[in-house]
Amino acid sequence: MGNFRTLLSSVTKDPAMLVWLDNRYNTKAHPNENYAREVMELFTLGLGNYTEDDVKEGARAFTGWTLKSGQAFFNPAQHDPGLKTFLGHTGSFDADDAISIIVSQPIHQRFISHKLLEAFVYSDPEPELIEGVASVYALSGYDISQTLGAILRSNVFFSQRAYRSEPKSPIEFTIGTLRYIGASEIPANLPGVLARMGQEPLNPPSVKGWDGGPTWINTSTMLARFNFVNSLIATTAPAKPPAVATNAPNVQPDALVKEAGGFNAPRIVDVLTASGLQDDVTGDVRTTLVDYLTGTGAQAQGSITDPLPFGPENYQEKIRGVVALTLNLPVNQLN
Amino acid sequence: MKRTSFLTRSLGAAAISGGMPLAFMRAAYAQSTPGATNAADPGNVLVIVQMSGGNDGLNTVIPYSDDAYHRVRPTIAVDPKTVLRINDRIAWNPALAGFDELYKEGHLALMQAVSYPDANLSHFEATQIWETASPVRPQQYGWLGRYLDRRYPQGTKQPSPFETVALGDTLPAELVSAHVDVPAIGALGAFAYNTGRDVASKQSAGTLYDGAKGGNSPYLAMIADTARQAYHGGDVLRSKIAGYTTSVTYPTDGFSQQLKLAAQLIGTNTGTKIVFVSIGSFDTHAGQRAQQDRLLGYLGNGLLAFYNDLKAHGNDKRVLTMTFSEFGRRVEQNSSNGTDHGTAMPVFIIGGNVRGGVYGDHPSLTDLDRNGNLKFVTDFRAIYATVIQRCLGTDPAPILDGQFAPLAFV
Repeated sequence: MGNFRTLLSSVTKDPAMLVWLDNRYNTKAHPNENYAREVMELFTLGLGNYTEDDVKEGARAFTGWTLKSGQAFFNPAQHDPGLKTFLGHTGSFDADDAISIIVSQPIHQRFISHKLLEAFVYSDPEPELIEGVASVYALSGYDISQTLGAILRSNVFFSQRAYRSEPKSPIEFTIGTLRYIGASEIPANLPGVLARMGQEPLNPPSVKGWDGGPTWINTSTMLARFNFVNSLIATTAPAKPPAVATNAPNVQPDALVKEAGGFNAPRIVDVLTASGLQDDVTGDVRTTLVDYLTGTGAQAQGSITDPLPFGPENYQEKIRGVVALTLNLPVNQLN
Repeated sequence: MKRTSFLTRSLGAAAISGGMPLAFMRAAYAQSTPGATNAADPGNVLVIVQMSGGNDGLNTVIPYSDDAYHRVRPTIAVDPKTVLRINDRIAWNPALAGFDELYKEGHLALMQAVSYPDANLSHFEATQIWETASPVRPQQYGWLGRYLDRRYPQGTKQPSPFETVALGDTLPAELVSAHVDVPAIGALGAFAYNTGRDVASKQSAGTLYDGAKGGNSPYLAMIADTARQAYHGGDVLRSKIAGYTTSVTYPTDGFSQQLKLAAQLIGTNTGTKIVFVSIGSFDTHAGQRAQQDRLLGYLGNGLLAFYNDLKAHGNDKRVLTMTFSEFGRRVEQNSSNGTDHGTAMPVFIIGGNVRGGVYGDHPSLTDLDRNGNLKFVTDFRAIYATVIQRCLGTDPAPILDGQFAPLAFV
């Protein structure tokens, strides 16, 4: 949430980035263009907003940044101090000069604004909206927190179109679920679970990262989301419940029964759909959830607790079951 | 007889007679490609087998009569007395009795020394290169994902949700596409909405998904559809393949059991056209012989059982199986009875319609690149191009971003 120019400078000189995009091999005698190209194409400007000459000249500006004993290291002997013409500017630029030139491009300001709007508001934001955010970003001197603040206080952030409009990423979904139940620790199997959902941490499909949006959702990733919730919340799931399942202070059956004033199924469903889904459920959904709790209708067939009515003998399992059903509703896949 | 048959048959015969210079193979085959159509049997099935970790080609297809082989591998060379001979120069690792049998029956094509220019020696990057068929700059979608995106443009629906299936817990990058849903199925029993003993909860979830509709978000209807497919898909699949029986006994290892499931999918009306299976790890930096020989045993015996099963059900001619590994290993062994990362390795193509034989010369063990690695003979993208054209029946050029003359193995 700091300054984007500072962030970009730090990323450029981060050991992981020096390895990942080969700048450690970028020398005066043998420039390596990988970082110069990707920093513009993927991170700051977008394809078509720079030339091949800009890639070559930018690579020269980044020469000399390499690794020494695993740490970032600037080797002046491998830096090309000569004149470069980069994105319309000419000078004997170094890495930070190149970064300052990149962030000063109006196209970059729109690029970042577009990304922020897609992440926090909705996809395909209107050009006027992008322009407005871009001017805040430029005036703030590339300050992300001021820019984001302007977005989060705006009418569009609170608009109907922005509300629950974008699919949650696997990390948003899993961490959001853990926060909702009040888990105090992260299940040890979470990285593997996230891989099944299509977002293994620190292992993106390419330099570009994950596509996100609707590409998060397919048959296998959806099933991985459902079964993550089932094994986390429901004590009856066959997978040994992670330690965290017994540590869900926000969805304690005893507390819920107390809050509902007894074994009052409709009241418990109201409390859960309000706290978990801001009441974004239809009457049909509410009825199905209440039917599950009370065990009436077809849902009761074969139930572990059938034919007992919702009460002291089964409320622990039933309430965990209804929490899982609530969190697995399609609407909860959206932010 | 199709007009290309004579030429390709001659090529097949020449190939079997032991090693064919790639230049000749390409030049000869190029004559047959102009005017060739992309017509392929719509019933064709492609099976991709990933040998993950980097398989050591020199202990797989062994240059047993080459003194250099025994010199550079003093402790891990395979004893020439035990090998299964292909010709007077090369032989199968004795663990590959399954391949020996498939080869003798003419159903296995051995593609020698497959790689690409300036081979990458990092597991991650090399795997990504094979997955995306893009050596210079990895792409966002896999080579088969790009095929699927072209076959099913945005807004069209696959006739079967199981047309392409990855057998494994996660979707391999080969099959990652912009908009085609490919299920990753680990254990078939686990491909289910799982509530354990709480049957009522599972039934209620079904009620919720069956009644789910679209809403404010443009994505909600798609999520509801996907939720229904995720919820019911496993049951649909299990019921479709339930009637399948086989007299073939598969080995008990996990890889062979996944091949058994693949044969079930192919042999029943699931509409499956592409299957992805993997076996590993071939990353044998230390104690290579025990590890690699064990895995090669699974590979050879599993794929032999798979072929025999397909044949018993009359599916052998429409199924083409192709192996790959992200790289081969260093020519010279290391000091811990293993091998480090290398470059070229053999690729195996198996199927009833495959023209069995050896394609390309065995790479030299003395004329190496500057890192002491094998020089490659066949570009892997030429193999992909052949598979895309002859098995999947479409033009490979737009998928592979370039022209690669199809090879003669099918």
